[in-house]
Amino acid sequence: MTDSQSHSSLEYQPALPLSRGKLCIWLFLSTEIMFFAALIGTYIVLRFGAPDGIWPSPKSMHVKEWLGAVNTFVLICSSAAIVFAFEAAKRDDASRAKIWILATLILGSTFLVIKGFEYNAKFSHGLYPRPKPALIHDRADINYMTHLGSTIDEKILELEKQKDKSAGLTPLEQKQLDSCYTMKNGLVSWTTRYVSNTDNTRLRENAMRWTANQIYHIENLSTDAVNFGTWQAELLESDAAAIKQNIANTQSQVQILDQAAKDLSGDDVAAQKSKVLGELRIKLPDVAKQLEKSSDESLADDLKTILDQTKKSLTDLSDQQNRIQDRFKAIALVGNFEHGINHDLQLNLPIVVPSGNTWVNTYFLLTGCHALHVLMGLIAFVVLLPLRLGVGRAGVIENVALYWHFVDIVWIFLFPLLYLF
Amino acid sequence: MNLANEKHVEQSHSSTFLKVFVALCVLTLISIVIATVNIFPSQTVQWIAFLGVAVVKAALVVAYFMHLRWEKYWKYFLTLPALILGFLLAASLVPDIGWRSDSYSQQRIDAGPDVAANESGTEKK
Repeated sequence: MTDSQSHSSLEYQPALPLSRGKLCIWLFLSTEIMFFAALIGTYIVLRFGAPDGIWPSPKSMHVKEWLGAVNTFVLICSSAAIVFAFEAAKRDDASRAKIWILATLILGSTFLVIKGFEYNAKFSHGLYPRPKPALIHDRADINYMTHLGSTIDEKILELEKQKDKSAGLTPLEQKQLDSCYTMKNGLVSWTTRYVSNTDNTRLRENAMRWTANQIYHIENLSTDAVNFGTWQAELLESDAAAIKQNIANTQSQVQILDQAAKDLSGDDVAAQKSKVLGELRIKLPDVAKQLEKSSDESLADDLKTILDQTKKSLTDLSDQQNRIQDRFKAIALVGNFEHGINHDLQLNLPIVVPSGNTWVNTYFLLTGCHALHVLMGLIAFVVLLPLRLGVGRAGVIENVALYWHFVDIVWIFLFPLLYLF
Repeated sequence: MNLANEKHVEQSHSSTFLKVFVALCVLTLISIVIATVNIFPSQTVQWIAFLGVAVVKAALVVAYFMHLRWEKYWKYFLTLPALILGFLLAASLVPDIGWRSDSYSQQRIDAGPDVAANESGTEKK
């Protein structure tokens, strides 16, 4: 390499192949490409790594596909509009350029308004990023049941306090309060009890999944979890009949034993003993057999012990009956709600959505960053509008257009990823 | 830069832009069709179809609306490295995040009717 050669290769280049403004906007877009490629790429990796049942379906998260499609169309139109604005400005057709910029501004605003409605649907269903304790649980487990129970208790406390005030409760609040009591017994207590008494893992899981599904409906739930409540209710029908019979039997036992205890309470125990035992032999042979072994002195005490035991089993049985009644009440209650209790009663109870927290975090991060970019573009259009948009401003319009097209490209990826996957 | 040549390119633009606009609308419709008509052997194929449509749409916007098609060599310096870096960042998440569910137990995945039907869920205790 000679000196002259190296000298000539270091010649100063006075002009770039593109204007300085355009270079700047492209450098900025270059960083934007990295920013959104990383965000969208991360989302794709998260989504592809989640099998069915681990990631919520769009419908479970109140995502309306047609709204996303409309927004996609709106942004494509706005992209085309700003292309024509740039073309008009290059021809020095300032008024035409202004009309196209105005059209872009209106379309961009429409996008944000629709986005606002969509956000509102998420917020009203408790679907938003939240610090712990998160409202959205990943799994229907004991941890969830505890959280659900404590939240229902809090709600009851709050409503009872309000009930005492002069204003009282609105019809909706009264309904909320009644339903909270029914849920506390028939959903939370019942399920917690059922789970601790059941060995079958699948049944335990289904009991809790079914409960969670009554609070907030999700898709991708296995059919046996969805039908757990009705299936369980059928079993309980026969249980309830058996318990009813059992209670009737036990009540008559208690009556007989009461009578026997009264007979024995007289002075002449020995005389009464044979009479009482004779009667018991006919009516309650098992009890009679037990009492035959006891001495005259302990007979009264032994009879009393048996009476107490029978009375206790009677209370146990009626407790059991009450629990089943509570359960039936709860099953009847949740049957009224088409979209889940949270939706229909406007409650904000903890819900179960597998990967729900990851979903809301990524959804709001992606759409939030995109919406901010849309907002920035709209501000640029507002700044441009009062100016004369002739050929002298063509460069500025081109730069804003480049930015706006990039925002459109981001949405082109977000639409299938968030609405259709 | 050849001014005459540039003028020639620009004259043909307006109709091209309209065509691109129509193509973008049609591609949006296609992705909705992909979502509703389920003819795909697996969900992954459907997802890749969605992404393929999105990539074509993005390429159309970049090439025509952002007129990169008619730009000089600098376009590669400002777009490709950024794209590659973005892709690498996402790719580096694959082992930990993309494959995270490979070790999930079946219990963790409530996979729906197929798995559930074989279990004892709806049978008596």
